[in-house]
Amino acid sequence: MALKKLIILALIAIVVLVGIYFVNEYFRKPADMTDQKEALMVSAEEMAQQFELNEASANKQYLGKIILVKGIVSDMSNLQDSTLNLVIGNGLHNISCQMDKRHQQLVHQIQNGDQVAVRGICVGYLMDVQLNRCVLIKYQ
Amino acid sequence: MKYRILMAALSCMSFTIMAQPNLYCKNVQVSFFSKAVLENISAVNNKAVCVWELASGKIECGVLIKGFEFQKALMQEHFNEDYLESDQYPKAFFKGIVENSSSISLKEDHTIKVNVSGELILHGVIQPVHTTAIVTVKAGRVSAAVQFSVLLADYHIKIPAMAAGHIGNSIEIKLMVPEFQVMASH
Repeated sequence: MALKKLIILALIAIVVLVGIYFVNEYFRKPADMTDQKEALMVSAEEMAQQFELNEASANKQYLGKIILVKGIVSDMSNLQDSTLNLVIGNGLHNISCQMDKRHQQLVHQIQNGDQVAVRGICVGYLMDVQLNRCVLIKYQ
Repeated sequence: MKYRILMAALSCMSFTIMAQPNLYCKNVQVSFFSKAVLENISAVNNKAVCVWELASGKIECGVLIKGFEFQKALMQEHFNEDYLESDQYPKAFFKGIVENSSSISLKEDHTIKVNVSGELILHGVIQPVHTTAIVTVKAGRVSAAVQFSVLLADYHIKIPAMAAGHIGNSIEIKLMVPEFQVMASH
């Protein structure tokens, strides 16, 4: 009898745990780049050049990965949903970083010409290399 | 002073020569919306690119599939991995013609409806698209808005049976061009 009760309790516990897992999964927000580790670290010039030379091979290396990019800010603007966008590099093709809305406060302290390091997800190459959900790692 | 007058004269000249400039915008907002029984699905990409040759009416827009941001991570993962297969097809394009494009005046403020037709290349599949765009000219600045819907099946986007009830058969796509820039002439 006691064994039966134990099995029922264990089953209920499993169902609850699986339920919690699915609910958490369902409501999970896109990852926050502040506490993620980057797969690659690269300068803005080098990254832009790699995409210019061979987009397919650069995609293999960077697409969908968390990248830390270093370089000089050449443009700052607001996108249509008021997200801040930083452009790093000063070439024909640059690194265009859409900042994470949750961590935009720091970005207001920087200006064009500043040296920055930004961590974000590489989403591809369309005139510029685009990074999404970026956070500012450090600035001088 | 002379220099300034000369520059002013030159800029006027270049304006008359460039009466039909080529326009582009790098921060076009593309959003889509799908209504379903259980929940609505929507996502936004703020950095699509459009290039529009006013004289010929030719227009080309591109967008990065991985650049669409969702509220929920799981939806975004399914969108990229299962539905749009963005590793294999990282971009979507629209290539088309804006009707009567050359008659659009940039000098007077007005809002007009124009027919746009062309093809959408999505998930590696090409399909014709016909729609109308609303073009607004205000103080020399040109903005535009377009809306159209596509059937998922037309683009070979398969919804697994398990999720079939959660996702609508067609999605509504919206493009908002906040301001076209004039492309530097060669």
